[in-house]
Amino acid sequence: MELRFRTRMTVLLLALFALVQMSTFLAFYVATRQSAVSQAQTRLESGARVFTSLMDARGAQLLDAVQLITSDFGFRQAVATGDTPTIHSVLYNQGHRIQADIVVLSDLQGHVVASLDARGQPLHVDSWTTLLQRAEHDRQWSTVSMIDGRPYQLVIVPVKAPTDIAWLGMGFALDEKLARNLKDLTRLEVTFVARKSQGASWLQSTLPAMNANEGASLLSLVSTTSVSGAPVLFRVGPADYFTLWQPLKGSDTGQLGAVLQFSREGALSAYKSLERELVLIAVLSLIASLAGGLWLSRHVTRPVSRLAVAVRRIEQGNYDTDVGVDREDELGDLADSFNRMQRGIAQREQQIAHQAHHDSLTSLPNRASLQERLDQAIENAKANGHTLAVLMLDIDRFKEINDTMGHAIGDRVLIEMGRRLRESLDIGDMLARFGGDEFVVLIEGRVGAELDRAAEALCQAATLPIRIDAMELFLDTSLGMAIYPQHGATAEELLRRADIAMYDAKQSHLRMQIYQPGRDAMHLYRLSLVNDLRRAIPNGELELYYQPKLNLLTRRVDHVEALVRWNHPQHGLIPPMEFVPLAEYSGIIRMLTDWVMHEVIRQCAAWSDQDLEIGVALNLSAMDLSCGELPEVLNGYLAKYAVDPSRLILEVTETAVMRDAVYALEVLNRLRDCGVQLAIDDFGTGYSSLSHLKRLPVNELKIDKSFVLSMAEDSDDAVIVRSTIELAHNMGLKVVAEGVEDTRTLDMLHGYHCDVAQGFLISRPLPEKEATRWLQRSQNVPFEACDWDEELSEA
Amino acid sequence: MAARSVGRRLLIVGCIFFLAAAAQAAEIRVRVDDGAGAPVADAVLSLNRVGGTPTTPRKASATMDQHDLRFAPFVLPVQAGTTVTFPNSDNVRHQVYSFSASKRFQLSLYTGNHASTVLFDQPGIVTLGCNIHDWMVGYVVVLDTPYFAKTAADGSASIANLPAGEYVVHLWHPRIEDATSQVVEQHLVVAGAPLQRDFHLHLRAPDQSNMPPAGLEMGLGHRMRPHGT
Repeated sequence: MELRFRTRMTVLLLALFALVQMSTFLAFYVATRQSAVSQAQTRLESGARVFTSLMDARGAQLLDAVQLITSDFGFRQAVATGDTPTIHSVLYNQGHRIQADIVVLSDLQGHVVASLDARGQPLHVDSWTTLLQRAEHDRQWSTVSMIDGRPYQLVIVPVKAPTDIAWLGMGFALDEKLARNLKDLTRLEVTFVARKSQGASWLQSTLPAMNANEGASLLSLVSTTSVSGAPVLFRVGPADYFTLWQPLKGSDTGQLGAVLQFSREGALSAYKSLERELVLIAVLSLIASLAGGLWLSRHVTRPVSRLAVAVRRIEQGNYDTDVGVDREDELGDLADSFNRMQRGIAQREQQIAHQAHHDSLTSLPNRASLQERLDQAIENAKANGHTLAVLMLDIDRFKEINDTMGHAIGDRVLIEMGRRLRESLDIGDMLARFGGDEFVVLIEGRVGAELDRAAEALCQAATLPIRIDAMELFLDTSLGMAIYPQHGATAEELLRRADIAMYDAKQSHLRMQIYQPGRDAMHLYRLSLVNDLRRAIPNGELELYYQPKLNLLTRRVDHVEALVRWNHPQHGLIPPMEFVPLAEYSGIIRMLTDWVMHEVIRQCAAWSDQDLEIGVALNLSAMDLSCGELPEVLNGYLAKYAVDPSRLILEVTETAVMRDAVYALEVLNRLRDCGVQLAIDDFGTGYSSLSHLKRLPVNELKIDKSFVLSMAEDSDDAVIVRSTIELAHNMGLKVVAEGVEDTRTLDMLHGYHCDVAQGFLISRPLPEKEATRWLQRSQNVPFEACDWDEELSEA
Repeated sequence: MAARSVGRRLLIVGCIFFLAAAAQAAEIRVRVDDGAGAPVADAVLSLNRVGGTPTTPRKASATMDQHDLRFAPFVLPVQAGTTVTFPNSDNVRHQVYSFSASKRFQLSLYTGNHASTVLFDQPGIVTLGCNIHDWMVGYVVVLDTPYFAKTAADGSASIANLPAGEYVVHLWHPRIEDATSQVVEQHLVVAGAPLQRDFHLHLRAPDQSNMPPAGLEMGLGHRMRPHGT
């Protein structure tokens, strides 16, 4: 990866650089070629102009010279003599003076008198008449013409004495010497060419020797007129030449001309060294960029690969090693950020791990943590043949604390509870908060008495009053225990059974309960009952029974106690003893109480309509007393049915009042303010103090039936009943005795001045219609006999 | 050359009276134009008598002056045998020459004080030049007849006292085609009556004008006449 990246980076840099170099070079190459071409063209064109003007100047010079000669008196005189030898000699003499290559003299009619070459030898001039016609017309005639197969620049002027007496022609040959001179001046290759109708012919050239083919093709090129325009490229020998056809001025129909050529090599030679230098620079800078690219890629990739290594390490969860990139640049910053990041990740991972395994409120291990530990412990126990115990503890009626005092207090209670439990445990034991007010303890390796002591210590720690600010809370807790391997082989099983044991402890008002085998099924039954109970009210499965209460003073029945019955579709009639605790446990009790109150008050109204002014007692649960809304709900129903509140007696158990004495007292007072009567139910079973009882706004006591049932046989119970009645009367309370099943007991109670008797002797609880009938009859028949009940019932 | 058919010959048919002709002399008047109506000056009209004995050269003289860097006159017709004097009226020297076949001569540089004379005894056209002034040209037209005249600026010329007889009429001009005189009328019969002729000459463009270049100061040509002598 490192190598690849580095290589790629280097290659990329190099490629980019090479690309730039190449395009620069290419641009340069193209530009110089174009420049060379255009320069060659310019050169050729300017050369052509120089050539033309040189030729013109030569022509003018020739003309001047010839005119000078014709105005020479001696020359004219010699010509006028008509003496041929004289004329020959004077022509040679004058031609020699100006180095003319040809001298021709003719009379006015065009007869050649004499024609000589540069050496004074006679020369045949065949086209003289034609030339002369132009000269006669223009008076003087500067031309380029072929004479005797050789090209000449020729001037023809008249000889005047002072009128025309003859024509003199003088010319310079277009020879190799001239071509070389012109080449020296124009820097162009000069080739004189004569074009004829049957093709061009080669005359003189400064070009290096050409082979026959090249010569022929150059001539054929020249013989077409296309070269007279823009220069064309033509190859001669090893070199290319830009070639231009330059017709010579004065030449008849442009038949004589010069091929002007400029070698491409010459045009490019200026750029050759520049090109070599550019290539050298490109190579050097390519090497430099290769070195730079390598250095740069190493400089960049080495820290990057270190970072990559660090990332892999972090990925594996190793946060201890810092990335070692000690630099001041962006990569250094990146490495610093990496180090900070991995420290942050480590910290947050710890937090998350802690949160995953701990309860945020109490900082105790959470459910997941416990389960993990429990699984581990079971494995260990299984391997070593040890035992372990799972203890589950919750705070009774913790929901009420949250509801009445707020969650802040509830949280503080939980924190304090957690702290205490933790303190009461050995180091090796594990305490976890399982959720809500449930705590779970895992105790390993202790059995029997040792384990019991540990459990006892927990219970004691849990039940100490908790002080929160100025408040002191007395909490009841229930503890259930399940032991491995007796009560379960898996964590799930142990926890569930500890939970059942805890429930049983709660039900049986014990602080601690070890799981009893077989409680599982019971527990499941109860759970299903709870579910069914929710639907019982809307489904009309609940029904009120009414048990008459006999006024021992008047021997009349003027009150009944309403008792709720549940007619379960499958399980049949379920007694309140069974489902009311479930209702309390599951919170359905409020709904239940509400329904009962509504039914009772509605019934009171119904009876009033039948002239039965019967008072009705109903039972409140301990949890009802923690509901501050109860008085308002009660008032609402009373008003709705216009029932006299004093007909209603609300019965509260002694323990219910004692549990949360302060708040319960407040609710009771508000209920009394509603105008209803209040009674203490099951009196004698709890631990209420008399002083406490005295403060309660109650009107009557109901002696628990456990005393009454046996009072006829057990004198102790009779004493208790009697003294209780006296005590109550002394406190201004009415007394109701429950469980009266025989006349002897009734007589005894009468003897003790008990106010009201209730029991099967008088009547069993009756459904509404029966009760109504029973009551209607009882109004007319005072209680007399022991068969009264049967009489009334059967009637 | 095409110019051979120059001119339209107008043949005036008149009565020929030999007697009268022998006894009387007549005058001929001509007008010469260039065919386009422009008068031709300096044309030389000459009449040669047909059948008559050639006239002997007559001792006569004429003057060809050089004045204002020009030959004056431009054209000088003389009968053969005439001696022409070449005075110099300019204050510069002239070197007059002729390469013409009928009379070649050369007068070395001279001023007016030493006027030379040249005898022109052969008929022909003698073209005069000045070796140091190329533009100068003059013509001495040497004729073998006493009957000649030169047209004036209006193109007219006349010859009086022509004896009756038959004549060949020639016309010459410096710019005439072929440079030789033309016969414009082959049979001119002169009786007592005056004759009138119109001739047309086709001329070349002037190549030599006998005019000094325009830039030369005119006063240059005048010779200062010495005071008192």
